[in-house]
Amino acid sequence: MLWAEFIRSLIRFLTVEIWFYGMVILVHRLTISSVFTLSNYLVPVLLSTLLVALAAWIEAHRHLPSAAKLLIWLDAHSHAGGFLATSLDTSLGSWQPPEPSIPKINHFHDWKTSAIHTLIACLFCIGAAIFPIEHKTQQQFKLDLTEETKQLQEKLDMLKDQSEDITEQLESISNAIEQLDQANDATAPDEVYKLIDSINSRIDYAEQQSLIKIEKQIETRDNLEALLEELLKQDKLDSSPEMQELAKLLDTLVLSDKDLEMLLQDIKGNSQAQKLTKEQIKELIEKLKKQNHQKKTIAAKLKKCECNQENGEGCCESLAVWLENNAPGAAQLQDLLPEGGMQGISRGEQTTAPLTYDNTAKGFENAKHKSIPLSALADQEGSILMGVAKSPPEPQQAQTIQQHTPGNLNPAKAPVKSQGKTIQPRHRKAVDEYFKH
Amino acid sequence: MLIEPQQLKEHQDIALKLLEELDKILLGQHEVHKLLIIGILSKGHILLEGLPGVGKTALVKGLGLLMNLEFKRIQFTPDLLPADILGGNILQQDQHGNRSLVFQPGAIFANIVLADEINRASPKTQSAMLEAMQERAVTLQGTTRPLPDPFFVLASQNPIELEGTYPIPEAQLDRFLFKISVTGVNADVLAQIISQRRRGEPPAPTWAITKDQLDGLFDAMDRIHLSGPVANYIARIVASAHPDAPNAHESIRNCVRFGPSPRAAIAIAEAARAAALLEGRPTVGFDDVIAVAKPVLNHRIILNYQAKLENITPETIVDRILDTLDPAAIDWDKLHAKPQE
Repeated sequence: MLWAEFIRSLIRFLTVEIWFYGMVILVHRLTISSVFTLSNYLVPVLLSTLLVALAAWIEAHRHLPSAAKLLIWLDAHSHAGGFLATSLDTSLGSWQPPEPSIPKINHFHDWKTSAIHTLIACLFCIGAAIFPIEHKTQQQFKLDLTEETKQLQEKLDMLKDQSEDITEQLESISNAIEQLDQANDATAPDEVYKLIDSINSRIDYAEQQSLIKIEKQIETRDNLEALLEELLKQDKLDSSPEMQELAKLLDTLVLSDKDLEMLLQDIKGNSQAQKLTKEQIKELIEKLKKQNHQKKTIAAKLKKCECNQENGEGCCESLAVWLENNAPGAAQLQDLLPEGGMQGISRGEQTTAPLTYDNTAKGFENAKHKSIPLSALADQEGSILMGVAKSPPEPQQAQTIQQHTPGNLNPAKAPVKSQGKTIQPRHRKAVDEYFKH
Repeated sequence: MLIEPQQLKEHQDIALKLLEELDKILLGQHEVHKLLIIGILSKGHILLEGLPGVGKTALVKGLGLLMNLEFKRIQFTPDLLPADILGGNILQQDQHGNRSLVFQPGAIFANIVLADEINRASPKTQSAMLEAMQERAVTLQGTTRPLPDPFFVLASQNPIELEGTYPIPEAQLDRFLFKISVTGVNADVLAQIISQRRRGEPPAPTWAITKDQLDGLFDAMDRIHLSGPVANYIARIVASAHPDAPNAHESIRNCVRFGPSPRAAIAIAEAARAAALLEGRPTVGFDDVIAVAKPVLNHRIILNYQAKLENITPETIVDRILDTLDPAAIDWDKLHAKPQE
């Protein structure tokens, strides 16, 4: 009887639970994601079902009177003459109570009604899960960072090729780029671009570190080369103090320079002798020259990259020329800049955007004020005024823009002004191609 | 510990024999006789109400003979005085010429007192019975004299011919265990009466209960077990007959002026014990309570004018209480279930 009551209560409570989850699924699909994923609901559904079962068990107990009350009730209704009620108080001794006839108890909540309610709830829940709903996907709330990510990745790859000593640092930066997509939130563009800037700064710092190391290696090799050439002039290498000094120097250098260690191993083979023969010294000089040349090339490339970070002088002038030829429309980027307000490309930040369009700009002549001839005015008769455009801006001297712009990987120093035109780092890809050229 | 079945059987047999003998005295009134025996076993006073000639006086006289106890009859008349019932001090002179006041017991000093047509005496005289019925003692001039044990007052009254009668006050009514209505009998019984009775005289009883047997019955009564749930049921019956009770039925609120006193609950419990004994059970059952509830309560529920207008009697009220009150105090509506009888 208790179990039957428990099942009856459970069905009723489950009906409520199914209705609840149906509503949750529907609201979730309408507001957050149109895709129904069962695994998202599995744990909460299981937990709430346990709670529902517990509640049903309590309810089943609540719906049935206590055993004592039932016994009293049976005593009264089966005309047992008070024996059953007395058995609660005292022992009946040699008296045998009459066997009570157990009546049937009708419940107001019958199975049929409960089952229909549960079925309706199930249909609602399934309908909420499979009903076709289309709404704006989550991607629409993300910024399009494809270009920026690609640029960061290319810059990082270039650095990886040239710097082998900072692999851990580069790996960390690579992870940061991968996590950029997760942090991409169009509702907070400022944060996203700050993250891009920080990654870019880390790449620049790694670049600088790499350059310092390479320059140090070049210097070491130059000194070593000079020492070796000096040694070649000696007649007796074994006894010369320079040779002893060389041996000590080589011992010290190989500890911090793996390239040099490999070079020495290549020359000396398996020989453990500290001292080198003349032939070996000559070979070492040749190889040092060759290696030095390679490193200087890398250093030069790394230095070229710096023009992006410096104040725009030096190599950036040639970059500007290159951009003029290879990135058509770069000058027109000015048009995209905001007109002194929040419109245009401003990374979502509230910025002031000074006008940079002046009489030196290309096509300025076309924008000059011209008087319309009277004959032309006659043509305008019968025309309809569709709108009033803003007056052209007052020409002013171009200024160097010191502000954040989209795609600017180093906002503190770029963009740069070169040859009277502002070069926007939006054309980062073109810049990279310039370096590769 | 409950009374042993064999012992109970002996006492039950005596009670049934008493009932059987009563049935022989007054034909066709088995239920009345049963209630009378229950009342006697409960040591309660009984008020018999019925039309003239239904055999009220004959019944009580017959009972007096069967009980083998001292029986006295008081015919209540309008000029009856309390002293006629209770007795009084009279001046007596002994052989030496000394005079002193000597108590002369009244008719109430008997085991069974038949107060015939009790409502014909004045309230003053009726009031003389109050102490005797409740305390089973009589106090006169500062001296309390106990009445013989057992002491029963079996009163009769006529519900018609109310002119020149005085309704029994509620205080005195409450002292009666039962108010039994003695009704007429059907034609078959009447034919039997005519054929078996000469001038309506009942046959002389051939058997009478002894003092020991009566004491044994009273001892057995004390050993009839009244369980907690049954006692609770009795209490709830009495409590719910009050108009100001929280769970009182609407008809009780509207029609009842005064509910029964706690003495009613005691009376139901005692009468239910006797009913159980008569049924040969060592425990009081719910059916026993239901059987005695009406004769116990019907003269204790005081109705108002609304009840008279709606033709509601105390019996109707008791019936409603018994119908609506669950013996186990289970609120089935709250449990969303209903037992199928």
